[in-house]
Amino acid sequence: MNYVIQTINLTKKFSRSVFSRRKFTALDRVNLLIPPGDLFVLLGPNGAGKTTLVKILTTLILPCDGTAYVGGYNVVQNSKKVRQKFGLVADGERSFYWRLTGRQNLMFFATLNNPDARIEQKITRLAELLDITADLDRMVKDYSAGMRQKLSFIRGLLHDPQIIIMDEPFKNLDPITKEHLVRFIKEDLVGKLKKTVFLTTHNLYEAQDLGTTIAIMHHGKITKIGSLDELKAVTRSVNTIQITYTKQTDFNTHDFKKNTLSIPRENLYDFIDKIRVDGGEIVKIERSESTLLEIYRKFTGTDAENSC
Amino acid sequence: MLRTLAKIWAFIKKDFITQISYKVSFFLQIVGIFFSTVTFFFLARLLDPSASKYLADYGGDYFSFVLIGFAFSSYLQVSLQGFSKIVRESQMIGVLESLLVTQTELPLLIISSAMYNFIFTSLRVFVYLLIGIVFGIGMSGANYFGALVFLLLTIISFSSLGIFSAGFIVIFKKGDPFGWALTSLSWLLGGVYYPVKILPPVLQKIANFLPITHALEGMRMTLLQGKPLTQIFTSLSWLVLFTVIMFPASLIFFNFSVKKAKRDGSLVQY
Repeated sequence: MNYVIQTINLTKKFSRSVFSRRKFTALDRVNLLIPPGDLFVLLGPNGAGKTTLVKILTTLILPCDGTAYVGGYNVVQNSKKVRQKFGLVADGERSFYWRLTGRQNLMFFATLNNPDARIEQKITRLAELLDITADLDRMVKDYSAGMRQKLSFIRGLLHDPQIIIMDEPFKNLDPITKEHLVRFIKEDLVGKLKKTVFLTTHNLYEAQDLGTTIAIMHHGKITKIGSLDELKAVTRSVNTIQITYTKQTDFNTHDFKKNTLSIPRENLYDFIDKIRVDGGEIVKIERSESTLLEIYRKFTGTDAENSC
Repeated sequence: MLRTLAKIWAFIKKDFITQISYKVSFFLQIVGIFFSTVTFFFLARLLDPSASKYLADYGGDYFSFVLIGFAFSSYLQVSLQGFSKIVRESQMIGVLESLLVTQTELPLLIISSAMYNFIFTSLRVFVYLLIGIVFGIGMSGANYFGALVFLLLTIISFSSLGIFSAGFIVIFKKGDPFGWALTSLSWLLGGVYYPVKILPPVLQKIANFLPITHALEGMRMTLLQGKPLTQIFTSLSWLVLFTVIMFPASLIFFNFSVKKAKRDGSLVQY
């Protein structure tokens, strides 16, 4: 099978300063295989190494060890070819010329990517898709964060790349804009245009909403990788049982209160006995599904940002 | 080739739009040229032309001498500060990353980024000379072709120094010892405000190793004295030598700096 992104034992160590010999490991033997059309989400806490990986894949920094291929080309030896294969959607906040209009910015960056004759139609079509047509001729300094991010999406797509690499694309966005862009990625980019999307985030909901494949990264290592269902299946062995029961609260009035508790599977029978002894009744017993938060905790030992 | 030209044009257009969006600053820069020219005109009246044997080679007129020196030294300024300023500004405003992931090679990005500054500097030099003519500079016998040759060599050799300087900025981010030393030495020894011959012999020897010395000598000799290139062969040779050695060397050094920054992961940091 051909993979559009492949990393083999990719390692990156950084010196602490220009003259320092002391190094810390940002990426530790990262192995990834991403097939065409995948919506791949790299999830990890701040400082996990996600941006370092994006920068190596986008030829902005060089690895110390290992290899990475993007679109079939080695990121070190064929960096020019690699740059033809991907579009980068980074933080749009500070990556445009603020005294130029949105359209002027897009035309400028498009020119640097050797555009074809239909570039203006492409800008118009993508602006319509992202609902930013009316603002294209305003200076970028007057844009909201959401509008700048939409502009960043358009810029990343103008040269029609096979792979779209997105580094924290929803940072600082309001929920409505975020929802619009999530839909755009799922339905248009991956659904209709059949692009491969590589997206990094530290937000669980984004990963859960988007990822066909989710990789969890921690301390520069990929600690787990798979579909959401596969990740849930891995943690199922440690799953808890959710038990709903009634408990008599007043023996005179025979009032009962309904409780729900999650307990470890191995304690189930002892717990049932205890409820019976206390005069309670079992209402429901079910296996509780792992949430991505639990999976994330298991593989990173930290809490991710789980706000919307 | 057409794609390369389109890219260079895109940078010029982008910088022009940005520049004119700051209308007051654009206007003040042009007005500033008038004020500095008039200042030099009155300053020159302090000096008795016949009193200065050092100015004899240049027609004896200090106003013409200093105006040419000041006007053309702006190319050095724009080269030395321009390239490194572009790199640093792009790092700071955050567009460097977006530029580097495009399908345009780094040397072209750097050269194109500086193009507008060179065009604007040429416009400033033209305005300087125009006002100078109004105030009495005689350039009727000028060797314009010779001046053009010197101008071209001046721009390329100064650009080489600027690219070196930008290389330092890529590695050290701020504090470029190369640019600092070269700017200071050029203003002191390069013959901007006074002829090099006025300096002690040791300093004159050091001045020979600065491109600005030969660039200004050539510009003054062609524009003020109308001398043919054959008569200013020494200055021409020095400048050609600088260009041939420094331009490729600066690009090699810049590529080395970028590779180092890519290895260190500091390319887009500031």
